[in-house]
Amino acid sequence: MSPVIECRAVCRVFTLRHNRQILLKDRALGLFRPHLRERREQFWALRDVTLAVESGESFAIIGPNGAGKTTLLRLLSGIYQPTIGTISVRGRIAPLLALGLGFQSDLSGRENIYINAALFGLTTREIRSVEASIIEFSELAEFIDVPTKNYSSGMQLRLGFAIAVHLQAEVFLIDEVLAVGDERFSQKCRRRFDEERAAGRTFLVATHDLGFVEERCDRAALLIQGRVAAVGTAKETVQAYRDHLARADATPP
Amino acid sequence: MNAVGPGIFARVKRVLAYHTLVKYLVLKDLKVKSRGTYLGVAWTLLNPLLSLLIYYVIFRHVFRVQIPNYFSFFLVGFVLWVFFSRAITAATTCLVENEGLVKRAVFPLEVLPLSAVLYQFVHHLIALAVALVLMGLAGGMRVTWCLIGAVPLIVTFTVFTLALALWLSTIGVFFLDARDILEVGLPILFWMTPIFYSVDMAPPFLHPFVVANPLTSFIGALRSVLLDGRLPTPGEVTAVVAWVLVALGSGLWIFARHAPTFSEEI
Repeated sequence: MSPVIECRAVCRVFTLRHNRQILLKDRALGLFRPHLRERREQFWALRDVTLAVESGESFAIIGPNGAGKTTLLRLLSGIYQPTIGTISVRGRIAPLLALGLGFQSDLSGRENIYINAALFGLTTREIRSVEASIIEFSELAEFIDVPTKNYSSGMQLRLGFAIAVHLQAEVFLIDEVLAVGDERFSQKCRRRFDEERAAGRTFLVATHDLGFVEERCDRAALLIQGRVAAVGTAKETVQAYRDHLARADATPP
Repeated sequence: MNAVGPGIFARVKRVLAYHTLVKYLVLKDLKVKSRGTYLGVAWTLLNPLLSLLIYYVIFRHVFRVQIPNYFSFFLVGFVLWVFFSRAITAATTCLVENEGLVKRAVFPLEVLPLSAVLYQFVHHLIALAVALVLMGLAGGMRVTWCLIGAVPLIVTFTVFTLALALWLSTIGVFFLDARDILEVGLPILFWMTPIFYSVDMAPPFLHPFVVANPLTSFIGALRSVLLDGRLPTPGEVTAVVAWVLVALGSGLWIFARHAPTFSEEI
């Protein structure tokens, strides 16, 4: 069977613009004043990334800050296009790059459920059918008609997470939003993750939580400076990352 | 990086698939910006109503414009103008203002200018209803079956506005001062549009610009249906349809061409 997520030799180049001319006025002035002109520099956020994630697998992307984890997730979600290489993702995707997207603080929790879920392409009927279940999961029933500006940040994350787990997707692309809230609620999140895995969903998770990776992921890839430094079982890759960190500590730049 | 997304028709289909999102974004704006009250919507009508009265007094009684049923004559143009200028101003900044969504959510970005225009369209419908009542009171409106012709004209004008909104929202991503430039440009366009005067009153040096102005065709066609009790001439219909097709085709194209880079440009 062919993989659900596949990256073939993917590179992503960003153009860093120094002195970026965001104003039309500056661009006009730049014609006469060369020192105001913008300078461009190429930055390779990802180089030659080749990965394949099979159906039902939970796959982790680990690595230091700035290694390209978020860029890779945005590429897989379709928010960015690859500069070189090809990407294919089969099935309905739930790109969870942030929780509670589009939340409007003046609107109630219930109204925000509708906006947030519609952002993932759900129709009114689909949202209505999971609304009660979302409210129950979030444990916010008594506050659901209160504007979300009166929520604590933990409550907002709980609501965002509750919506996320009710998206009927086959492939979840998750950026660091695996468990939210207090200890009890985050255990509930992890339990939910296990249930979804048991139901055969595919997960691609970018995270710094190495304990989570070792316990709950099948395989993992280590990204360092935009390159895949290691791929293998979750345990092997986490070990490779720990070795890398130890070496980096031993030889300060 | 210059990757062109899926074809224009595929994009339009995706936008239509996200109609639920459009609905909730418009409702959100109605609840938040207009406070969800009729009074809130009334406030947004009060401002143009006031300027309307001032302009009327100046043009009718100071400059003594001699157009029959002058009040109804300029009301038609003014209502279209208020909708048009507000919608494209809002569209210019709609992508930048929703940076969080553009960078983190996956949906056809045309949804953002579309909902900005539709939010103004809701106000436009109320303004049109008020305008019809005012025209009935002031006189000049011909109640004939030709009035039905106003409906397709208003829809067509909204599509035209949407097309310009696609253009301006794209430009707004690349130039943060697009809105400032627009705020300078709109008054110029306002006076080059026959809202308070008729096309034949324009001085010879302005005449070609006024005739070439697409708003002239829309306002002229709507005036003939509402005030003259006649359907637009084939020439007027052709002009209106041509403007809409050119604007919409190019607007969808320019947006589709640049949309894949919005997430990194903003």
